[in-house]
Amino acid sequence: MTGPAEHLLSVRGLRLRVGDETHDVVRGASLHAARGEVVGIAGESGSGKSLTLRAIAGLLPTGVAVAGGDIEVDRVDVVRAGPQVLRRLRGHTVGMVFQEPMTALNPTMRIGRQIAEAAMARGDLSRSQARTRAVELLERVGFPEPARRYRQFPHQLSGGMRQRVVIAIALAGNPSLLLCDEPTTALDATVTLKILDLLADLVRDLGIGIVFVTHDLGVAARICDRIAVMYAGQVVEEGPTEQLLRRPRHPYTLALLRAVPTRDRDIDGLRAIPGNPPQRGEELPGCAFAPRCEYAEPECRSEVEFVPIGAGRSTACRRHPLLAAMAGGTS
Amino acid sequence: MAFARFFASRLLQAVPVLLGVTLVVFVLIHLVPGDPAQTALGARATPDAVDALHSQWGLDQPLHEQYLLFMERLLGGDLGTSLRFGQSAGDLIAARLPVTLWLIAYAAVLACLFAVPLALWAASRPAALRDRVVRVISVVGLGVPGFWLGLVLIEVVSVNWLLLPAAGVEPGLLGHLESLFLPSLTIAAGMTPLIVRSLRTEVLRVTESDFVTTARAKGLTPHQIRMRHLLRNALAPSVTVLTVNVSFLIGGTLVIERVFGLGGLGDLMLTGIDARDFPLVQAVTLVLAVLVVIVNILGDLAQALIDPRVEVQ
Repeated sequence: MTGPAEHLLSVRGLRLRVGDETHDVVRGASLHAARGEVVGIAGESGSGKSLTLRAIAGLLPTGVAVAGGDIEVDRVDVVRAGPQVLRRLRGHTVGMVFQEPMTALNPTMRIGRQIAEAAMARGDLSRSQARTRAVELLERVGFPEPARRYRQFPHQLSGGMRQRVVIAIALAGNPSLLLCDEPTTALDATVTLKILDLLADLVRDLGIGIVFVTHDLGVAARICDRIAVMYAGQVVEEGPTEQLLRRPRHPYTLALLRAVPTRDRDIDGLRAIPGNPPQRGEELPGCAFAPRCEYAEPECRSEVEFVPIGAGRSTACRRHPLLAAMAGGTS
Repeated sequence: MAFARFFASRLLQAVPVLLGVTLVVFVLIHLVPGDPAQTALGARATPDAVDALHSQWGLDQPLHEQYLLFMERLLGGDLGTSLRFGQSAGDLIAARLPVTLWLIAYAAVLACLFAVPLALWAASRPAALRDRVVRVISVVGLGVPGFWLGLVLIEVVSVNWLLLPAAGVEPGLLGHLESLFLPSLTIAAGMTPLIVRSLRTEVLRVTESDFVTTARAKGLTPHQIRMRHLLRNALAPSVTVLTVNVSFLIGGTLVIERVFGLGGLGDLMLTGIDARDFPLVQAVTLVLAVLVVIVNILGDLAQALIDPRVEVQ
C-alpha cells in the first residue's frame, strides 16, 4: 500500500470546539505516525496538543467536540465511530499514558488487577490468563518481583513506578499505537530518563508507534523521530527531530529553542518570546504567531499555508527561505 | 487480628465517653420533677409509705452515693434493677434489644438498596430529567414525617391490601423480614434521600477523575467502569452519612416502634421515663451509648475496607 493508508495514524485538518463557542481551540491540525515511529507534538500549554491527542483515542473531555477534519487509526474512522467501535479501538489498538501517575490509577484497586482488567477488555483472555499477562507486563515495564508487586496498591508506589503501571495498563491490550500525554512532566529528571528509555525499548521491541505530547523540547529531542510543533491550535512546523531542532523553519520553533537553557548558553542568552499567545476565540486571519514574530511582514497577517519544504519537512511560515538563509541560526 | 485489636482499643477509648454519658443522664433525670415512689404508689400514698419505698430503693442516699453505687454494680456487670418492673434492667433490655437492632439494620440495608441505584441513575445524566426526578423524590422522602408515612403504609398495605402484618413481630427469620418490612421501610424513607445526595455528588466528582479516564482508555464498558471504579471510590462519604444516620436511629426508632407496636428499646426507654424509673433509664441510655460507639467503630472499619489508604491503627 502507498499513501496515507499505510500510516498507523493519520489526522487531517482536525478542528476541535469547546461547548458553543464559535471559534475552535484546535484549528486544522494534521499529523501522521507509522509503526515503529515516535512522533512528538510540542508546544506550550493551551496550544491544543493534549486535546489533539485525546481526540485520537476518542477521549475528549465533556464539552469538547470534533468540529471538522478526519482521524484515522489503523483504518478506523475515529470521528464517526460509535461507542462500541471506540471501545474496541481503545482496548485493542490504542493505549494511553497520562500525565499524572498520582491520579491516573484507581486508589482502591490493586495495581495488578488494574492491568489485568485492561488485558481482559480485549475479550480473548480468561481471568487467570489476564493475571499471568499482568505479571508479565509488570516485569516488562521494569518491576522486580512482579508477582508480589501485583498485590500492591498505587499509594504504596513512587511516582516513577506508578507511571510504569500506567504504561503497563496502556500495553495490556497489545496496542499498535501508544498515546503519551506529557508522561514525564510530573516526574524527576532521573526518573524521566528511565521512563523515556523504557518507551524507546517498547518501540524497538514491539514495533509500536508512539505519539508523544510534551512541552519540553529536551524530552522531545531524546525520544522523538519526528516532531510537530503546535501553536494556537495549529501545527506550525513538522519534520525529522534533528533537522527541525538544528535548523528550524518556523520562527515559533526558533523562539522556543532560544527559551531553552543549554550548557553552552548562559542564563542571559535565554530569550522569552515577546507578547502572549492569542486568547481563545480571538480572530486569527493569517499566521497566529505573526503578532509576536520578529520576522513578520504585513502579508503574514492575512495568509498562511502549511506547505512541504522538502526533506520530509513542512512549515506554516511564508518566510521560511529567510530562516533557511540564516542557516543554523540557533544550533 | 488487626481488626480485633483495633475494635478493642476503640472500645477502650470510648470508656470516658460512656462515663460522661451516664453522669449527664444521671444528673438530668434527677432534675426532672417527679418521683418514682410517688408514681408507683399513687397520689394517695402516705408520706411514710413513700419514704419507706425511697429507703428500700436507696433513693434516700445522697446523689453522688447513688451514682457510685450504680457504677460499682456496673463494674460487676449488673445494670441495676428496674423500679417499675422489679426486674433486672439487663434482662429487660436483652428482651427488647433484638427488635430494635433488627429494625435499624433492616432500615439501613433497605436505604442502601434504594440509594445506590438511585444515585447512580441520577448521576449518569446530571441535570437531566432523571436527576430532577430523583431530587423531587428525595425532597418528598425527607419532608414526610415518619409516623404519618407509617400510618399510611399500615392503612394501605396491611388493612386494604391485607399483605403484611400491621403490628407486632412474628417469630423466625421470615417472620421478622415480613413483619418488620413496613417499619423499616418507613425509617429507610427518611434515610435514603441523604445517602442519595451525598453519593450522587461524589459519583459526579469521581467521574471527572483521571483514573476514570484511564478506565475508559482501557476499553471498559460504562457498566464495568461504574461498578469497578466509580462506586467504590464514591462510597466513603456516604458511609459516613450512613453511620451518622444509624447513630441517630439508635434511640430514635421510638416513634416508629410505637406506631407499629414493636416494643423495642425506644419503647422501654419511654416507659422508664414515664415511671421516673431511674435505674432503667440509666441502663438503657448506657446500652444505647455503647451501640452508638460500636456503630461508629464499624463505620471506621468500613472506611478502611473501602479505601486501602485508610490505615487501621
